[in-house]
Amino acid sequence: MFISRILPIAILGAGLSLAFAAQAADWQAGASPEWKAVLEAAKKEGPVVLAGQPELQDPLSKAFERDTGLKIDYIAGGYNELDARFQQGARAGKPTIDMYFAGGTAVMQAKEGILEPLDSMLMLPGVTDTKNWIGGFIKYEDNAKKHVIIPSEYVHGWPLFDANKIKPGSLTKWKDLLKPEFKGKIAAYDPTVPGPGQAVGMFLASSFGMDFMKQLYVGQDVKLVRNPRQLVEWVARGTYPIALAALATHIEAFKKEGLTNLYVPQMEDASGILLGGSALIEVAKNPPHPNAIKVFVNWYMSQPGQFVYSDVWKVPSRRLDVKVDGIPDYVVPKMGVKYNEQYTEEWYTTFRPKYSEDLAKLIDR
Amino acid sequence: MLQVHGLTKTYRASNGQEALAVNGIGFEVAKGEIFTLLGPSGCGKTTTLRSVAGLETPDAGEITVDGVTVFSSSGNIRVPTSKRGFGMVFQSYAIWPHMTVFDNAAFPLTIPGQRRKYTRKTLDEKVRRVLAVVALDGFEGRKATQLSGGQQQRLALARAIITEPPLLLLDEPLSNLDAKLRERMRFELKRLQRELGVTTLYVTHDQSEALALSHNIAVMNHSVIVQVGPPTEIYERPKDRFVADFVGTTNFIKGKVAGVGNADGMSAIATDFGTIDLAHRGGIGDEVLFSARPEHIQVHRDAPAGPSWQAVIETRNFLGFHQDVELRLGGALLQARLHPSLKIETGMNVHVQIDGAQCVVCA
Amino acid sequence: MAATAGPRRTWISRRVVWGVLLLIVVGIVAFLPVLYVLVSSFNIAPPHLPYKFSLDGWIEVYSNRKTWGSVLVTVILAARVPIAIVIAFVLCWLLVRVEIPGRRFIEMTLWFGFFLPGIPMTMGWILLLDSNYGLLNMAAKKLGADDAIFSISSVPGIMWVHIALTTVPVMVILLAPAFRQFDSAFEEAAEVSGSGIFRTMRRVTIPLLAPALLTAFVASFIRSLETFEIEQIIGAPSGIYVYGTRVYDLVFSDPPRFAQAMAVSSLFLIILFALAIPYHMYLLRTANQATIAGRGVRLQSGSKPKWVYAVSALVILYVTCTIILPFAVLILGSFTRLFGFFFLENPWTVNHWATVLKDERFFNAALTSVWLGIAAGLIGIVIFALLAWVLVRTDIWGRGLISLLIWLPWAIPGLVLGLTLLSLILTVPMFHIFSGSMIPLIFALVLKELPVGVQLIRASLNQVSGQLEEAAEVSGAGFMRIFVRVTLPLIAPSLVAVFLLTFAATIRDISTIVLIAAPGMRTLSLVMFDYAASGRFEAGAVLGVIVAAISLVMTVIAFRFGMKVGIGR
Repeated sequence: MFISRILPIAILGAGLSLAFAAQAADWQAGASPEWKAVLEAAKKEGPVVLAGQPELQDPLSKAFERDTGLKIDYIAGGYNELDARFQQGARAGKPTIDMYFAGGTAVMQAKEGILEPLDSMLMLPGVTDTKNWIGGFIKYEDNAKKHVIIPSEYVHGWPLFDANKIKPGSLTKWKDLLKPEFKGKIAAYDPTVPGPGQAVGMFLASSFGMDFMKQLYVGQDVKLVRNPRQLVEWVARGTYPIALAALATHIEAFKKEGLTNLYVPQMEDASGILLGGSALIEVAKNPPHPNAIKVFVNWYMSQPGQFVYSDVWKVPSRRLDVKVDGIPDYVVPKMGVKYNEQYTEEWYTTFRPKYSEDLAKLIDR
Repeated sequence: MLQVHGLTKTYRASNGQEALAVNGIGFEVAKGEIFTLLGPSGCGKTTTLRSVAGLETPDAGEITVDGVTVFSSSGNIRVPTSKRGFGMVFQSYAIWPHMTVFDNAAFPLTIPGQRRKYTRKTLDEKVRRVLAVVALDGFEGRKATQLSGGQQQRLALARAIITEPPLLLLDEPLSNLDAKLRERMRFELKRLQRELGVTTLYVTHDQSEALALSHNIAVMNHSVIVQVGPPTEIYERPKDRFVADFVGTTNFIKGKVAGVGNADGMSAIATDFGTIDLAHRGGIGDEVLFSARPEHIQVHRDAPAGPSWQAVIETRNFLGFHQDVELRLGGALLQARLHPSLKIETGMNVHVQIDGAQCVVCA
Repeated sequence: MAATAGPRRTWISRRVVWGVLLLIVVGIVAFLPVLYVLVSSFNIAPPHLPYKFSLDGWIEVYSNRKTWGSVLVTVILAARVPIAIVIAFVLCWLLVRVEIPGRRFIEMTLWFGFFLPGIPMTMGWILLLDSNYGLLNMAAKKLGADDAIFSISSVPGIMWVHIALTTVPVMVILLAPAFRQFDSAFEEAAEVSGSGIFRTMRRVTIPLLAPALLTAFVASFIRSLETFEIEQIIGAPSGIYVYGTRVYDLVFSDPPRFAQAMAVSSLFLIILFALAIPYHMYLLRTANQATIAGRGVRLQSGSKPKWVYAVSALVILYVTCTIILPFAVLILGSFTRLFGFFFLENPWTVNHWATVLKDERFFNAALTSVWLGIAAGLIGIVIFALLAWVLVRTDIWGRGLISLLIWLPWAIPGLVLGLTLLSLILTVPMFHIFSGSMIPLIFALVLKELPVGVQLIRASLNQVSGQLEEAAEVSGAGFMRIFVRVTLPLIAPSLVAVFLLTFAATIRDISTIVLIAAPGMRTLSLVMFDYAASGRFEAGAVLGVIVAAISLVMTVIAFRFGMKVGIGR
């Protein structure tokens, strides 16, 4: 019994560490002498300052130091605080943060001109070789394909149901959420705050129109929260049978602890949103550590960097050589399915401001 | 040694009204003497002392010590308190509760200017010597809060004299002690002052304290000095009714100038019980008020030689070393202080003499 | 008269010069954030663009029903202050006057409660009182209740958490010293005159303690307007918004509505002034009354009536329910696999503790917290003591205005203060040097504690006779020597108390410093906030317990000092 449990894990662990060793060695394969110079210069600059969600801090710092010998000074926080800090610094021309793991709004900063161009920063052959990326291209958010890279994409926007209350297969259309029986039964991440809730609100607004939104968010008396974990907890406890804009990490964590009543359905009338999460690279213009950040961006775009990101968030990378266990099926983009793409310049310049205003009016804060 | 000239200080109350605390007073203190400011509370004596110390800034006036002007409104001079180098004992003693007896006394010597004069050893010796002077030797390590009132008072004195200041300021230093201790400390203070020869400015509202201690007294009332002089003069020749009343006990007797007296500068004053010869110059028919101290009224069981008046004893207080009586003489009720051996009782008819030479016309 | 005119002018000018100087310094420090708030409320351009004046922010925000709703809820929630002051008054009376058995434990628990971090304790309360899965509700249902008895996501729920966690403990901390300094001879005189306990309280105790009671009341009331975190966690999901959460929403909405946020903040500045001015006038009016200093003789010990034990049991039950119970649940929660899921097949684990303790951030944050706390505490007491000294001991010009200005920092939500400082650091060139250092954090934290710090030291200075300082002055000591050798040691008890308050505020604070904490300068509470914000409640709970443990150590130290300084006799 003991052996039968331990042995496979041990073998898997050994295999993984072997794989790590192999990856660690060759991510710099074919690097130019110029790269070596950057690496040397970076060592003299001190820790590169990154800002982002707290989850990334430990694994990212450890892996980066293991592969490059350089340290990371990581500022962990929520979207709101980090956004404000990074932008204020970059705008004043006095950035203290080199790079921010941004969401989709990064394109606005690119347009404002407070970001460092990235295309020229990519130096390693393993990164620039488009064969390594899905579709054969490195995806940029800005139309100029210069300032904001999207290295990872996943599907968001599906609802979360409590299997004890809603039989799997019984509710497969978004429009069915308007049924009177679901009034007061739905919780959602606040769609007026930038983040997963707003993405879902806009996705539904663009798919079904503002009228639907009014009937749903207002008419069905949707309970709004600001903490995505709360949604999963409520469905798990049976407080609310339906949650909108929950996050996969929380769902999987709860499932692992035996809360099997959680399930994510396949909705027929709209497939979901294609998002880059907070994987986007946003480097402040004139970063305080110009060489260290160059090393970091190249590393992060390579297999080991993408592996860490993909593994922490359990979302697929756009790199073809990154394979991570435990990514739930419902977040992996499927070939040939039309998704609501929100990480584009058009979305942020045209659609989003309109929906944002509409939603704010609807929710009336 | 100390000259105060034209000192004026106004206070502004919270309601915005101004109140005069000291109104242009001036006095001089000779080297080595105890000079007392005596007066009822609110007369401005403490304000004067604090102005000399530099704790108050007068509106006008001039203060000079040993030829050095420490304050001058016209010269725009104001030497800070800490640079004046005086010693001072506060009414509350202001013994620092967080320090030991030694630290309290040694504090003035730890100020840079003083500190240079001593080594650790000489400083220690000096503090011990001063503590011995005030009979606090052996208490060095005690917490100041563990001292009795009298000990605190002596410690405050030690702290005030340790730098051998040219001028010692004492702000009602005895008023917080009990009666017995207060009397003993009067002698102590006087002895100490004489030994040190330090010029002392003393503030009190206790007339007997003032009389006992001072070389000179300035009686203050309503923000001005009423009379300055040695204790005997203040007591025996009060300048006005206030001084006579405030310093010692007295009887005020009304009368009219009836004629010129036996000698030059004397008048015969007619009262409602008889005529007395007093030192007074005035027109006939003028109304006067004169003071007659209780001890200057003699009472006899039998008629004495010379003129006397009949009176009745109304009350009698036996106090051991003397007895006080109130007696009715004509329409007046007078107080007299008598030797305890005189056998009298309430209601008794007695013969009274008033020594006109000791009486003083006040108004 | 002509002779006196000259010198008096120079004397006044010294007062005026110092007064104006201090007024300018205090004014800039305390008033700049206020000015920023007012000026920004009329600026509809985004923060990085040139100023654009408009009344739109004011018009929009005050034509919004939600704004008035949040104002109303804030005022309703402020009703906890009178409730708490009654509880605190009775508690103080029982602790100091009646000396009920167990008073040391009770007072210590209240101090501990005050030091406890807000967010994890709120999480503990949620586990107890949630209408769906709260442990107390489940227990009630087991005992036969049809429905949930308690609902934390309600106005009474929020009020309860506040009263239990902060309002009552703070008031006891502020009032107990006043009770201790109050000469019981006043009460005994009333009793000898045949007055009963309640008449004595009504006619003697309360009127004499009125200034202290009023200070505690006004301080707590102002603070109650500003609170934010508890309302955000409990209130926001139920649509209950207060001033603080409203400002937060406006700042972090998309797009940010700074002008509106600042316009709401301005209203509360006006409310604050409306409160502070009469309060101040009252204090000035009562300042001339005899100060209450006394021997603090208390009821005879040894002959306690029987009811004292019953009352003691009740009070111990109260502090247990309000402070120990939620803390115990928090500890339990930190050992659950999923925070608060006590009924899984295998609910317990030490993994979260292991994760947090192994997290490199943890030790850095612990160090940062302690250093920041010590720095803010020390710098704070020096500044507070100097200001208090000036206000009590000197008659410089403009004292009234200065002591009024000192209240200002409390009127601004911590978040807005942080935003203001961040903007100043980034936009004013001479402030750039502070960017990334601890200085802005210390500045913000000290500013935040300025009102209560100065008030407490001021009260304590009033108790110390000015002659003690004058004696040193006559002895030849200069200002600094007097201040350091005489004044500071004499007010040491209140300095220790103010240091501990500032330290506690520092290790608890989130909203003030979240925007200005530089890279690598995360405190324990900020790391805790990060965990909670990203949904890692378990790790958040672990850190909450750790911060609470530090608080417990602080409480014990406070009481060690208290033996000497008079808190918790």
